[in-house]
This record gives sequence, C-alpha cells and structure tokens, in this order.
Amino acid sequence: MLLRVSGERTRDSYNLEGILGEGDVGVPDEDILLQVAEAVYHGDETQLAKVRQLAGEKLGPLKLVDAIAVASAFNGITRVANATGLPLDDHTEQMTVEMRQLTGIDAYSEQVKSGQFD
Amino acid sequence: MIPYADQSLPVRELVAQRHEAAVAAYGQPGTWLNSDTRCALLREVRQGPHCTLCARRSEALSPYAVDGKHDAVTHLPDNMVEVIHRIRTDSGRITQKWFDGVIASGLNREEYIEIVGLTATAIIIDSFSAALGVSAAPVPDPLPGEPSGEANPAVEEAGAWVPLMAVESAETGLGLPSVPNIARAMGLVPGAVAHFFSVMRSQYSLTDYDTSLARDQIELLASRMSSLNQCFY
Repeated sequence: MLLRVSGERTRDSYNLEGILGEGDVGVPDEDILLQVAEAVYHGDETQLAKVRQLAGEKLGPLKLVDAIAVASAFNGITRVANATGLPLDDHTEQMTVEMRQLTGIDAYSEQVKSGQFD
Repeated sequence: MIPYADQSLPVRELVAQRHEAAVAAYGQPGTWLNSDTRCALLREVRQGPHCTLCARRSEALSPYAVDGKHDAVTHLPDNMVEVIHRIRTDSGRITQKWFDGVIASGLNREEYIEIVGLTATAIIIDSFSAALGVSAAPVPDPLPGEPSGEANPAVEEAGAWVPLMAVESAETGLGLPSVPNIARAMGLVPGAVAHFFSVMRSQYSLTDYDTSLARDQIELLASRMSSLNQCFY
C-alpha cells in the first residue's frame, strides 16, 4: 500500500477510499486498471477476454501486459503474507495508520479475522 | 514451455525467462520437498478452483464451519492439500488457529514455508498466463534427487506465525525498511525465497524496473489486489 508514499514524493494527493470503489482515486486510467485487477483476481476467462480487449484499446498492449504483471504478482505475494501472519514493518505501521483506516485494511488484521472466522 | 510467443501481446523477455525457469524448478528437488511432491503441488494449485469443498467453504460465513474432503487430483497427503487449496482459494480468511492446526497435523514449518512459496509462485505465473489468454504451463516431469534439507539458522521471531529472516535494520529513500517483512517471511527456506522472488521481481519492484506504468498506477494495482485478497500486509 504505497500510494500514500508515492503521492508524498510527487506532491499528488489521492482519495484512498477509491480503492474500495468509493469515488475516484485520482490515478490516470484508474478505471481500466481496476478492471484489470478485478479480472486477474477472479480469473474468469470471459471477464479476462473482455477486459483484455478494453484495456488493450485504452492503454495499449505494453501497458496492458505491465498491468497484468503487477496484478498477478500481487495475486501471489498477498498469499505469502496471508499464510504467514506477517505483521507490518514498524515504520510502515506508523506511516499508514490513517490510510489503513480509510481503505478498510484494518479489517484484514489477524485479530479481526480470528474474531470473525475461528 | 509457456506459449507466450503464441499470442500477440508483448510479454517482456525477463518475465518469460523467469517464468520458464520457475516452472522447470517444480520438477527439481527442493529444500524439504522432493520433485514428485513439488509437481503434484502445482497440479493441486490448479485444482483448487474446481474443488467442491473449497467452493462450499468460500460461500460460508466462516470457512472453518464446513468440514469435508478436498477433491484432490494427486497422491499428496490431506494436510498438504488443505494448505495448497486454502491458499489458492481463500487465503484472506486464514487465521493463526488454522495455521497451528496444520502444524499440529504433522507438517513442519520448513515444509509449510516451501509449500507457501511454491503455491504463491504458481498463482503468479498462472494468473499472468490466464490474463493473457494463454494455456497454463505444462507440469514438468519430476527429476531424480533428494531435497537438500538445508536449514537457515539466520532467522528470528518477529511477530509472524513463523520465524522471519534475520536482517540488519535500514531504510530506503522511500522511508521504508530496506528489507521489508514480506521479503523475510519465507526466511526459514532460502530456496523458497529465491524461487518466489525470481518471478516477483521480474513483475514488480519498489525501486526502478522495466515497466511502462507510472508509479501511482503500479501502486493502485497493488493496493486493489491486496484489498481483493483481504491482505493486511
């Protein structure tokens, strides 16, 4: 979750709640990029073919492939974090308090999950 | 051989090379798992979305309220199949109680980490090829040989369910640790770290790498995938 850091470096500001679909985030081509992410996550062939067509037209083939690369990479690395109960780095935890609240990520903590599912 | 050349989208050479090598490595003996087990693991990763038990659990309010047997397609023991299918189909609802149960069932932590790494790597490669509309890479033939059994003593308890790789603390220019916890998570099995990040780093890096996307576009994608996978980290 480095959008906040990215914005601080470029002096851009982002609406982080947009990651959950609540308004625009403020990133160029975000609509189609979010569609790529959804399609990669769900893995449905029909949805993927449709998004591939749309994103190819909107972004061009190279950006489409690079977007798929990032989305698929995070489709894997999140599983490592989830399966190891990985805590945030101390510095990251301090830096991201507000962002985690805005994006609802606090709901994915071990404490919340164990209370909900165990 | 992954048939990236058989479609029209421009797959970067480094990505194609890393994917080829990583798939081939399933057919080689690992650190704790032999090549036969690693190849079977790749088959079970692909079976996860077709498993009836996994589907029932995904629909349940709590996956732990649904008992049953996985629709396995290999000879792997039940506890291994449970780990592979769970990570593939419902990793966002994994809890420490489940992890403790898996370890109590007879998997050691090193085996568990090797399974986590191989499963996550397969998900990256298969997600990428599926998104391109390309068939999944064939499972390689297992090569003879024994797992190395190489233990890594340079680990430390750091609040995760498993010990993390021990590192010197330092920060990058972004104000982030030079070795983030995610890079330390599989420290018990250095071979799993190398295998996973050989693929991961060809597709994403915190620092410069070959991409046509702006940094904010990259982090938007990363953030959304983290949210979809219910990932706190």
